[in-house]
Amino acid sequence: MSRTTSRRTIASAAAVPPAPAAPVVARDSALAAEIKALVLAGRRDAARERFAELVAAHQRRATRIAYQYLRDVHDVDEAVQDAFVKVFSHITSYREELPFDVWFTRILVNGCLDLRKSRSRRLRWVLPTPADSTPPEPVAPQPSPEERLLASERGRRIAAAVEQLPERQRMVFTLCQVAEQTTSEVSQALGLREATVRVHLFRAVRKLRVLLERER
Amino acid sequence: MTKDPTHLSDDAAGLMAEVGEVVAAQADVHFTDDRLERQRAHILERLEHEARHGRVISFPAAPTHAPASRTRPRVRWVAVAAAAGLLIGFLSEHVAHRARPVQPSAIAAVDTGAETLQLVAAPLSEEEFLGRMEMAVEGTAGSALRPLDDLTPRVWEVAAQ
Repeated sequence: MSRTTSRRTIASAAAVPPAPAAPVVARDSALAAEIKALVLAGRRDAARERFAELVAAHQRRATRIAYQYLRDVHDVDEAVQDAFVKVFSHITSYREELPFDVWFTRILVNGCLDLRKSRSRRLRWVLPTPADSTPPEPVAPQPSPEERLLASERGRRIAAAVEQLPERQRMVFTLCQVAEQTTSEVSQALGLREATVRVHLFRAVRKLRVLLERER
Repeated sequence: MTKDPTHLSDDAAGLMAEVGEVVAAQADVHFTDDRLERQRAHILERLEHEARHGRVISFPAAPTHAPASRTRPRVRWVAVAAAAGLLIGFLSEHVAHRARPVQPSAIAAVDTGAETLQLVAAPLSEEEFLGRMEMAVEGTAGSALRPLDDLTPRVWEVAAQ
């Protein structure tokens, strides 16, 4: 299946508008190639300036993916920062024929897995801190749309249903639905066969439908 | 035509979109625009910091044997010092051995050695020999042995009896 066809299939499955996604991906890959050329030419300052644009474009998506793995705001922050720093340090090994977001997602996911492993090792010896000791962001006078969504009854039920998914299914679902990646891209990012990714996605969707439609 | 396992009805697609919104909101509620701005600043700071550190290392432009030549004299100096120490130790031991004062007992042994030869050539009588022995003992023995010596009967006295 071609990349465009695959994206369209998932887009229709996930009801994600496909039109804006493709140009953004192509633009990011071109930008990454440009940064690579600048680094190779020894113009690191200029490369860093251009890299800030790439960070801005992928930052939110990266935090959403990392949050599904780590569930801790500090760890998410650390994993996302590390992933971007690693990308810049290894930009010369970026291959232009690959979409940048797939390459980046793979680096991010590996970083999240490493961090989670080190966290579990740390917790074996140290008493665990409270679940989330993040100092709250300054309270806005009005709750944000995200806060309103999560606080609603429907939002709570959906969040609980997502929590019940096995991790692999949750990750495939997140990458396809939230990070707007095709099954082909997810298979490259996670190092799984595309057929396996499709099975995980199918099972995740079926389970969520069962859990949520029962409550409708 | 085979059915696509990920194909959903419009209703289900709407439901999945709703789930996707909640999943995204779980992270977005913590990572506000301000926080993302700070995160971006940290990333760029780290990159700049790493670049500054990178300038210190001049690899591969610097000659690779420069650090080796910097450490080599130190190693050579230590080796020379060790060899010199060994030589000095050996010489001082040799000199000390040669300059060691000869023990008086050794001289006596040499002197008496000549006498012994003389004695072998012209043997003394028993009494004369024992008398000489007594004189030698008296000369070298300490005063601590004198009371014991007084109690001991003399050989010639016993022989005369």
